[in-house]
Amino acid sequence: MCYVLAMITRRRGDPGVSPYLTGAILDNGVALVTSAHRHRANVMTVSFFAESSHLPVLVRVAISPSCLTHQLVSDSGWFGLSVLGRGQESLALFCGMRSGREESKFEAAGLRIQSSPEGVPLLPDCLTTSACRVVERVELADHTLFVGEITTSFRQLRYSCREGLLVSDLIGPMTG
Amino acid sequence: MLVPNRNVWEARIQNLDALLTASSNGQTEVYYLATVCQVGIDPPLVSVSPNPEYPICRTIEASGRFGLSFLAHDQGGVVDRLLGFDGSEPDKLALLGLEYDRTEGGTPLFRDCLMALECRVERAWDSGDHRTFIGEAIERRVPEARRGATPRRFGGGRGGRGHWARALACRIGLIDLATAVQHWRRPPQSIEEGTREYIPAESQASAPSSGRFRAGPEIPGVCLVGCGWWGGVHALELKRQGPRIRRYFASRNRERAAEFALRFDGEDHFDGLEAALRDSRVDAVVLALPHHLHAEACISALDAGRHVLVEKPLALTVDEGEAVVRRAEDAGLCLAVAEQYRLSPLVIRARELVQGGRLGRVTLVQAGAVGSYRPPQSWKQAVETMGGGVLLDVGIHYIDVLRFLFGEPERVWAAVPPRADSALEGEDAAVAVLAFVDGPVAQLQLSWSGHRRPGAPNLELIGERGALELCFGRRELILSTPITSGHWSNRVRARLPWRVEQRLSRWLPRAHRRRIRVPGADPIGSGALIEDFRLAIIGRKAPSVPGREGLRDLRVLTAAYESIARGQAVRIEPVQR
Repeated sequence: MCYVLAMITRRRGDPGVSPYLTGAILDNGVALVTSAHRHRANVMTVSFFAESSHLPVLVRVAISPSCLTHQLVSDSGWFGLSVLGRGQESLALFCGMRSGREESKFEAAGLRIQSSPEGVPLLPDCLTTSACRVVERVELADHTLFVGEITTSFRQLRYSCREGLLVSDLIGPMTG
Repeated sequence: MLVPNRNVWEARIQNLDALLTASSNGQTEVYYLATVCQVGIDPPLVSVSPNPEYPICRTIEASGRFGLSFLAHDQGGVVDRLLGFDGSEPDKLALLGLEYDRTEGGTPLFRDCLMALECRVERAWDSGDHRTFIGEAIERRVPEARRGATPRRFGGGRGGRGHWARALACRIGLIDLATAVQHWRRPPQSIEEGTREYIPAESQASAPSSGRFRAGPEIPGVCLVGCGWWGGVHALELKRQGPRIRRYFASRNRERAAEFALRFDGEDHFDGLEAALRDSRVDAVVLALPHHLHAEACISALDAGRHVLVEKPLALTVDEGEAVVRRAEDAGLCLAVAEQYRLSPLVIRARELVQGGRLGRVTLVQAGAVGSYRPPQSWKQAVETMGGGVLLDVGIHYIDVLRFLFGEPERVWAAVPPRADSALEGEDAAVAVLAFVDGPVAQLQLSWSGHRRPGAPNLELIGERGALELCFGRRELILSTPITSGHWSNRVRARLPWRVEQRLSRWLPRAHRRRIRVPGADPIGSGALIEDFRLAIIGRKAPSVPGREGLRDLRVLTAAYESIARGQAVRIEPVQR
């Protein structure tokens, strides 16, 4: 999502280019995917995620292979998924438009981190935050689909009445 | 305050409400879901994950396409109406009362929605208890009337009665306080265990429905044929069904049948199968007869137009079994085999853990029962009526469970020791080794004559990441996973002199041992078996162990006996699906 968001900001005035504005991207919830492996950690914004199964509790996330997170998730076999709420638009844009290869986005965004028992960085200041173990991996044309089993999951009570953030909250109606 | 999520819905990984549609062979299906997400930009790929028990999955697979109509925020009524329909309702689209157009590919897309897509299926696979489809979006429609409207979030989003009161309670900390009290009174369980409470037991137990047959009445008449010891177990489970079925009992010993009818709330009793089949009140039969009578009794019942649940084995030979299965398929009737272990909540949970990758790749399996069964008596002592020994009577259950967990075996090797029980004509102990296609090697140990520690596991699955023990006498699974190198016990070990470490080793854990509680009062699945059969005969689902599955178990068993006779491993012919 990071490079797509970058495209939006760069070419907002040219709706013929941005896939978000031409309808090539579906509206969806927005979440942060966290990952860590051997002293490297990263966080990125995603909107390509959804529940896959009730039992076991599975969630799927599509990540572009060009992202650092893709490498960290592939190496560690774990990822964290923290669903963002309304009011966290700037955090979504911040984590979606910078590369973790150049700086620590956790520090730059001032994100509070709580480690799961499995060592996955979780973000307690989101609506919900879950640690997922990768159980399936499907290579697609320009993304890799990681299916993860949620092993640990928390919600922030302070935000229990807050609506989830949508891509359309960031960029306006997607069917306009 | 950060609190554990108690179920999958609290994790808020559901997104926007949409209607999934598909059409094939004149049948049009619609399904509500909030689990759509995009998974690719070039080409534009979209993924959905419907429940495979619903006919939408079969329709998508048949047509190779699906449609998605995203709902606007004020279309909650559509969701409520659709959720009110029975899953098997054939004409949901008409009942929904929404106008739709068909694409060139025949996929229905709703006119009154935020946006509609038609997708061509690129991939499909089972993921947990749902089936994931990935499709390339080939057509996109944005109805003019809804252009720019707000999408509908899962659960309806903000608004509704009491929203502002909840928001205020949240802000002043009342929600925190109430949750703290709730957690103190009832500690939060794991997300998976909490989710399990909301999923119907029958849905957890059943395999995806794969076929349809002529359904019986809503309250079917079921006759138990054979009132012996094991017939009593079926009778008890039939009684537990209460008013959902009408019970009848049949036995060559009419007094015994009358006694069963009295004890288990039967409406009537008959002196044998033929008399039961002549009575029009009987819609289905449960056959708990000596093994050599199974095939003949099945064919009689199927010829008389009755659905059949037959005790294992389906027949004594593969040819007989094949004839029975063909007869059921030709007649369009339900033929189910009583492999109840497959419906045991313990086995179902173990399968979920295996498929979810909790054990990693499973390489070895130890299965079987030693000395834990009632010793064979009467007809079970003669090979002519029994068809074999412990391998047939007990081993076939474990063969079925192993097939349920790991698919089809490709080779089997079996051996039997000298008999200890002289009254028995068949083997009273046996060992079989099954090699599964791309799966583990399983060793099966069975004995009526040996003794083993009570409570020893009936199934032990050994994988790369852990081991799982299952004992049918317990209501829990035991998962053992290795500790990491950074675990405190390993760090302590590394610092201790060898002699001290040896003395302290019993207090230093080498593995995480976790008890996974499996709720339910039906550890061997005998109650679920009868419920599964009832749902099958009233047309709600296909039986979890249909005749074809029982026939495959019989093929493996026959190969095991062939291996004993030849003294070498026997290759099992691959299954033509």
